[in-house]
Amino acid sequence: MASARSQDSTPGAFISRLFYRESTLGPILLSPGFIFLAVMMAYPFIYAVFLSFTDKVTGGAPTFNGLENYQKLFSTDLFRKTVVNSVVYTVFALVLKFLGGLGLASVLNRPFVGIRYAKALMLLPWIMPTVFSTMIWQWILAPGFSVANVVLVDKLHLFAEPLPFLRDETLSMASLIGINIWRGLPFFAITFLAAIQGVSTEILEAAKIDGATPWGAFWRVTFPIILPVVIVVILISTIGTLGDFDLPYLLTRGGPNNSTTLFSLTAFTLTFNSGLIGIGAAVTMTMFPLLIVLIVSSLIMVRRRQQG
Amino acid sequence: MKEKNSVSRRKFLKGAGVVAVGAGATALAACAPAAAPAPTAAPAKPAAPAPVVLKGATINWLGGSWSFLPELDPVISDFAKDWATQNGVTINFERESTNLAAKIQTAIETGKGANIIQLADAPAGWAKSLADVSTVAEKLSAEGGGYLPAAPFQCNDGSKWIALPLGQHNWFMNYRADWFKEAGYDKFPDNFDDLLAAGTKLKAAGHPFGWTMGDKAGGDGNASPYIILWGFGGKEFNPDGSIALDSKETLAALDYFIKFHKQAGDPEEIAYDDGANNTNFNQGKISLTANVNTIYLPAKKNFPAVAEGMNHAIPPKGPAGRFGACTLPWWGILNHTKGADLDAAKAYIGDFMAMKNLGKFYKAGQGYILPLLPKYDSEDIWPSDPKLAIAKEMFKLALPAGYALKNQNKLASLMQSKLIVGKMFAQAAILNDSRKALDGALKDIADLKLLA
Repeated sequence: MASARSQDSTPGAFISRLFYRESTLGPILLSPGFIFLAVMMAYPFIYAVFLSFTDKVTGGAPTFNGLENYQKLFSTDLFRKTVVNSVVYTVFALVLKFLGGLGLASVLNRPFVGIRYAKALMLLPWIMPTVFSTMIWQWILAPGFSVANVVLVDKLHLFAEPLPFLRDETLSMASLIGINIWRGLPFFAITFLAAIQGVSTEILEAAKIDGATPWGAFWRVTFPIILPVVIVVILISTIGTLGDFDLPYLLTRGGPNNSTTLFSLTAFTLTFNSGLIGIGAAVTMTMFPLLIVLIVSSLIMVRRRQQG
Repeated sequence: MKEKNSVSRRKFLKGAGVVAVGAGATALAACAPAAAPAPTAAPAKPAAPAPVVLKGATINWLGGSWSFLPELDPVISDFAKDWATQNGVTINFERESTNLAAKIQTAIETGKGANIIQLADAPAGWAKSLADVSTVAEKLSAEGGGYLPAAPFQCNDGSKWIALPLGQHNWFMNYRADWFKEAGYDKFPDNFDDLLAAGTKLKAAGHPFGWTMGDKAGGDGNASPYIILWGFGGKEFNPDGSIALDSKETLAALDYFIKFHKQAGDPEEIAYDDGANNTNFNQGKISLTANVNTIYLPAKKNFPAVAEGMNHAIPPKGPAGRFGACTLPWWGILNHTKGADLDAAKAYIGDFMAMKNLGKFYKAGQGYILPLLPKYDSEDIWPSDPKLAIAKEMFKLALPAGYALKNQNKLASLMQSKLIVGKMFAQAAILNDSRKALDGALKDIADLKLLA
């Protein structure tokens, strides 16, 4: 008996027991992921929250300054422009990606010759590294050597003068939104297509027998069924689009006249180019209320839909 | 490796340095048009150096590569290799072009990694993280006959040297001499009015000017606007640090640029990035731009007809005189570097920047980067190509952004990083309204002051 007890208390036996019990196995299996998230996500996030309430600059020690960074930020044109630009960029890009993705998915849902190639080609903008694709767009829209202008003005004669894609504030934002749509549309289309193909043909047949038009069947039968997928895709894309950095950084640097600077780019330039780390952290924090509202409302919608 | 360490002499030199900096800054602020700024410090005899143990030290060097003139990178690397072997020091090089500021920030915040950094923006923005390098600067200044005012203006914070200037990029007028000749100009126009007249003719002939303005070009965009602004008497600062931009001289400069852009400029010049004027010039789209020699050198290889037809000139004169614009690439030592590593970093920089060694760097640059020490005037470092001969004329003419401060400060560095002046000129052309553009710039500056 004494011998059995001593065997039970060996480290190996103890570990075996931990893995055997359900109450301990779960936490053990979760712990690597939890530790990773805590170290790589939670700690930087909490540290950024802390920095946003300090006067931290490059090479200086952080001193708590309450809401001063936020007060300063809210009274600058730069921040006002950043908020407006980010909202315009996100709303336009999302609406157009949603409509385009839905349309493209509907087209790809019908068989036609070369559909496989069409699907593969459609994915190209999405799988291409952003740095590479943005460099191509830079070349297409570049001042002086715009390929787009050569086509629109010299070849098609649609415009008398070259369009100032990266010179005009409105056109610069439109160019940015256009490229975001070009890059993100495949994700919407392919996800919507998978969801549409998951809709039971029997339900659609039943709708047809009941006299539903193709349009009516889509909006009243197919769309409500794929709605949870739609909401999740929009949610993921909203987070990515609102926090987009690489595209404006590479294409416009936030210009002209700060007309294309978004949250991440403003935070980056204030932090790394200007050394204002506390202020930069405050910019990133201002994104969160907006994101939290979006995430919570989307999740509530999905849950209600699933319960319904 | 050796370094002077006489305490009494150091104290003396520090005192002399402060006086020299003050004198230099005054000279800079009062820089008369076309007048060569006076050297800052009288050459001092170097003290007998005491031995410093460097063996076993490690230096981590972090900076951008010389992407516009890659021939310069090996000059730095080769010297470092030999120097490291001779002194038993390990030197690691990391060249980073796209994310340099973030990497330097990481080194500063963690206190690890880079010891020596190479940057081209204002050191004032990094002042809290840079070690005092006054001893090295004073030695180099003494050797070269006293730094030109641009050096202490940018690299001295008013009490000590926080960085060491590697040299200066000067913005020459790059112009198509053949097209100017066709338009009736055998010589490059000497003043801004004549330049506008020439540009009007050349644009009508299909050869517009391409003067980089706007907020996309961190290099050209931080030099080109100042040539016009200063030429018309405008300036960002008063010597006491107050903002001087809101002036009739600035408005006159903006009015000039509105006309210049309409009558002579490429419509896209206000959206150029740093490479756009190079490309457009070499493709024959524009007949004039402000640039270093990085249009001409590639043209000699790849666009011989352009190289043949072009030439360089000093900037034209405005109502307030003739001003060149320069930016100063610099090296600094991050202040987490201590002990033998700090001694090694100072010794390495001091040796590399000694005239006999840095001269090779200037020579390799063929005018791309020019010295800041007057004694180089008589050294064999100047471009042999006659089309780059003006480099020697330019090197004493140019000022860095922030004029007429005594020393560049944090706000001046932020204004540079946000390209406030270039953006103001671009906005003037877009809005066709100097006052609105100036008001926009003043609001931008007010925002920066508030945030900083």
